[in-house]
Amino acid sequence: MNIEGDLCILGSGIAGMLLAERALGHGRKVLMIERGTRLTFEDRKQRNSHDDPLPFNKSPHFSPHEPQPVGPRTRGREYVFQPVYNLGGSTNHFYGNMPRMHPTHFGQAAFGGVSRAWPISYAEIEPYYLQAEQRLQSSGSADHTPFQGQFAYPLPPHRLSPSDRACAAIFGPEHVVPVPTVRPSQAVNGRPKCCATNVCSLCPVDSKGTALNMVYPSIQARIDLRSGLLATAVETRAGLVTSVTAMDEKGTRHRISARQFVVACNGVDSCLLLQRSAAVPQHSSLGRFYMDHPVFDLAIHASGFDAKPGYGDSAQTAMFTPFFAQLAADLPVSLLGEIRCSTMANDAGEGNRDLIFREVVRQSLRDGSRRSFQEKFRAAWGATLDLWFQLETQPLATNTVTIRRIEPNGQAVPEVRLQYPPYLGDCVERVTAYIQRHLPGSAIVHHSTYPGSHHWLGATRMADSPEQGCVDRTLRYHDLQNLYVLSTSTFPSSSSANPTLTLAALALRLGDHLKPAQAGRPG
Amino acid sequence: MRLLGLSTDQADWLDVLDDTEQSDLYRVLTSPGEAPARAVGLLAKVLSPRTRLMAFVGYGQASNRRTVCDGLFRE
Repeated sequence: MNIEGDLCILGSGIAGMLLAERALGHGRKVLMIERGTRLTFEDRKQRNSHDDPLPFNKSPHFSPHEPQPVGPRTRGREYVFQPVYNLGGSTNHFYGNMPRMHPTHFGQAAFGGVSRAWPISYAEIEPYYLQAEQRLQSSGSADHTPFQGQFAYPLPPHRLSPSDRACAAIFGPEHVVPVPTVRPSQAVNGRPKCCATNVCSLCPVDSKGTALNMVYPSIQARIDLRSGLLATAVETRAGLVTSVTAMDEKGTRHRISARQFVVACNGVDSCLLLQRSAAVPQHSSLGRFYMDHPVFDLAIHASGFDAKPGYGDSAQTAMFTPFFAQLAADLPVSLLGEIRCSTMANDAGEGNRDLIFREVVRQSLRDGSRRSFQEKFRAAWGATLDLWFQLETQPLATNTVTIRRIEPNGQAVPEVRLQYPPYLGDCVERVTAYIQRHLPGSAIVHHSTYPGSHHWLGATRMADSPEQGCVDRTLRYHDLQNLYVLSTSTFPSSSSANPTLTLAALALRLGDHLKPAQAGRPG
Repeated sequence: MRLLGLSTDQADWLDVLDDTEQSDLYRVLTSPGEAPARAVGLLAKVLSPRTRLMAFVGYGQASNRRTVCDGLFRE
């Protein structure tokens, strides 16, 4: 079967949808291809799952992973790649934090001989950050950010939790910033205020902003959406993409033609599609320099504050920013801290909540006073802070995404190789020392480390030359005039910020780039 | 029960422990010092379910139970 379009977007996540909306505004006709079904929020709630029923969307991937260089672990030695294949993509599942990258992260010095500099500057992307924050109705504080610039969040920030306020008192209010988020601080456009359950991966009241509830309604009637189609190959001739081959549930092949194509899949699958397409130039960086944000979690026990774990107006209400620009002069990375007011109020007694709970019990049993155990426990509970640090990671050629196998249903299964950065231990030590300087006598427990944050970055990196990257500064694939990649895989460095807002800004920017004046002459 | 600080209506919380475990827990609670892993595990068994934990630390029952979630506690 042949399908024809003008601008063809592969993937219906937040990036694809924002691009579609912007392109429609410029008079483009949009064909959107989604491998998953069109499950609505109600469908997901009913199923209590994002799992897509199509046969080629059932392959959560686990890769063996090197042990981290320091500290305990809470999960197995596996790196989890578990995408959401469905209309709306990963925002269905994410927690909704939307910080910008720090301006300094756009122009960092090389690490290990690999460029970390973005071909675009913060100044170039800032107008699109602003537009994305407006469009996605972010909650945030315009006058309290870790860097200068224009900010105009449409919704006010969430009220700081007792844990946030305790951190502000201990470390300085300038380091505790209301987290920019699409968990709304007040009802907006038919969505209720964030219910603060900390189960954002399937928001029970559809409050969290997603591609599905924020963008899709405005484009739904104006795009040609084909769901249940898995793109399996990009075909080219003389430097132009001529078509994309896709497969449906029954194994029937479809040929998709368009004037321009945008690969807007997640950060791993975008790479896999290009790798499995024999006609696409296989640039040396394709599938290399893969990054994700490792995380380590610290529980801090001290006296003199009441953090009231479990109190908060949202799953997380503030970021901890003293290390956001850079951790230290002699370390090449930044850290973004999350003050986790919600961990210990989780419904299920699992994961970090149980780890911290056990630490509180230990603290209580060490208390030699004559108070009752309950009094000791309450004191230890209130004097516990839970800080989660998201670590910038480096683009290394040895961290790779490759195709492990192609399944009979057409799905590519990835092989991800990613090591913990060797400086992870140093980062834990620096942060621990920083906390001890501000809280002498405190007990600091590094109780968990995760290899990733489901932030799939770098495998089709952006650089001005095809020797250094796969796409240029406009996101056009090098050596192909009408193919673009709009995915977190284009990030040449990871920052320590959650990537969704930057991706959204890139989507709006690409939408402007592809307006008809440019569309007339490919590239 | 008294050592833990449980109220009478919370007495059945200890039912998750058998007699030996209850004796072990008693011994730990009456001899303060470094906590053995077993004691931590026993206390986790008794107090870890969310409703118990929240009640034990003195948080009132969450008011927003009209939806499938009950929310974090709010000031």
